[in-house]
Amino acid sequence: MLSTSKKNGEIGVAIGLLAVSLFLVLTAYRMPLGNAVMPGPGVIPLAIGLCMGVTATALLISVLKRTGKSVDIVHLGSRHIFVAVLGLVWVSLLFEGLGFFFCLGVFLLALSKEFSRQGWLKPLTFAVLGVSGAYWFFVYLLDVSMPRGLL
Amino acid sequence: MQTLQFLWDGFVVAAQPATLFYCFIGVLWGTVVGILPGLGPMAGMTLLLPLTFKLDPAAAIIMLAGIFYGAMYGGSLTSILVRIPGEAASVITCIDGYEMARQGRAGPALAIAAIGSWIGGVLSVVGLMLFAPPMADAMLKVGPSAEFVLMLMALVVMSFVSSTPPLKTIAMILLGLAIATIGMDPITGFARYTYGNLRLAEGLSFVSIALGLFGVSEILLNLEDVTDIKAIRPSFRSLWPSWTDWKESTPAIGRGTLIGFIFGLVPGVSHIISTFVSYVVERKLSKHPERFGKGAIAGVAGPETANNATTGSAMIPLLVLGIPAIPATAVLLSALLIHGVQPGPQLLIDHPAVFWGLIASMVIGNVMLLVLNLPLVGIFVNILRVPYPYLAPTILLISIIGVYSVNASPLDLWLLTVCGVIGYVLRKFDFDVAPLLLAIVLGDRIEMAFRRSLTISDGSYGIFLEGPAVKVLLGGAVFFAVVLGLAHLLGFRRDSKGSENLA
Repeated sequence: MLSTSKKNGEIGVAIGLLAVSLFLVLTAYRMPLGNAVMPGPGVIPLAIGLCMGVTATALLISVLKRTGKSVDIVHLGSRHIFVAVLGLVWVSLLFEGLGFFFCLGVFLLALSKEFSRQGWLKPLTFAVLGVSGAYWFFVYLLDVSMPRGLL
Repeated sequence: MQTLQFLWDGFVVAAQPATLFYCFIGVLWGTVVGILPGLGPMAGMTLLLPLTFKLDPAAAIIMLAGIFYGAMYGGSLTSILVRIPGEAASVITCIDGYEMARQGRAGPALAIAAIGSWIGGVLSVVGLMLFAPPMADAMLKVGPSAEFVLMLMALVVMSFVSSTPPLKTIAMILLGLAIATIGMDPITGFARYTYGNLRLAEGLSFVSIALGLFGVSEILLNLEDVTDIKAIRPSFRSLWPSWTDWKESTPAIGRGTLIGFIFGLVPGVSHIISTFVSYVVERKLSKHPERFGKGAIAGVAGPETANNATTGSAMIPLLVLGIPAIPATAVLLSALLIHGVQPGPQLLIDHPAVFWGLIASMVIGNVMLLVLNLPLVGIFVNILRVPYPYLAPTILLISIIGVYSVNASPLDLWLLTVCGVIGYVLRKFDFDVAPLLLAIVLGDRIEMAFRRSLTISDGSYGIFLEGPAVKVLLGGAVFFAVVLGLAHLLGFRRDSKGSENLA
């Protein structure tokens, strides 16, 4: 788990927004800007980039100027969250390769085992029933197209 | 007379067995997502959005709208019985609703919440029916410059009514507008930020972004602290309110309807603000303000009515102007566009079945909810007994299937994951992600209106200040500034953390 002060987090977000604004401005100049009568596709990204730069700077200044005795500590992430994100990355990477049953079955098993902290039987039953039920409802009943993968 | 004929036609559409079925599914799913902590109307609608692709536009919109107002009902149930708001607009109901439940009066609290919600919901639909057609007529006469001013004003108003400080909201709006520029330029077809990827040429998937920012980030937040929920279980016999309850609730329901209807028109998080304003108004007007916080039924009746009254009026800017006032209606806008229905003044002319069918279905859906919510309260409470270690993976599974089914692209799954993490981080540092989503939806249209206006005016920026429509819009802005000022004077404040407090 990562702990930081709320102030540091806000500074981080403001710096991130400044980076985005810089990117928008630089890339907008490579697009046709047109003229006053016919503004080109680069005009809006340029305007947004400039406005975002001003807003992010103002946000940064307001956060840096903020004083107070109490420091709000924000805890980011936990083991559960890490596993959930890892599960989503697993699905994003391998959904098409492994297919609906295997990829989502492992996803359900891993998450329910981690979150419930129980033995294997309940999470395994849940994963099998969950993925079969989802297949029946979405693919069989609603005719939604899903990757077959290994099958 | 013509309105009545249209309304009758709407009831013919809404009363078809298939449409009634989808309306029922919508309100039922809406109630469930309203009950489940961590899922609100936004996530509930986004999850079912891909499933509507094969339905006709009227049935799809009716089902999604059912989720929207159904969630408002469901949210009150957990607020009263568990002291956990099922969705943000039910936060204030926790105060007096839960106190009533602790005193053994959960039944009357639930009954008044449901009846108030029903009255607020139905009356706001009447308002929608009366105000939308003349507004659409007026909007047909305005050009792109007024449209641009209107959308810009919506974003500006949103900046000041959001639950976070204006600077943070403006930053989120600008980020949303930046994301909206990804893809083909709407006028010249120039590819922006696509880097040769054909998928990106169509822009980023709205469903992935919305589900990531709202659904996945909410699950990640809830995973920080997984605890079992213990709910108070009311009996069916104890539901009926006493005469005193009715006497105290009736004026609160009337005022809640009016407050909810007005605030539903304001872009941002107005459905949430309306509940706070209603609560403060009831406490100020009460002969016994000391009872508030200790189980005053007016503290349940007013806010619960207000949050449902916003559902009808929030449809006015969506259907008539094509501007989603709150995040949930942004999903409706997306659904309309997917089905080839362009919201805006032409909607009433081009797709009367969708517009009037939706109105009629909202009346029917609110009746369904009243019938569902009171007798079946015990069953709905059981939903809370599903352990979160199994519920969270299930919701993520449905999100994955929903996102993939739109474009069958792994890119959308990556987008879901990345947006989920970004949404989680932003929310941890009190950045509201709702304005970001609304800006994504409006981005393309703002750009088109801006560039077309300049072409019409031969490059003169004066066009954005000319014409009666623009003046009316600026008048509207002043009106909302006064409403918000009054709300502020009545005691609605934001503290330095950006959360709502009652002064």
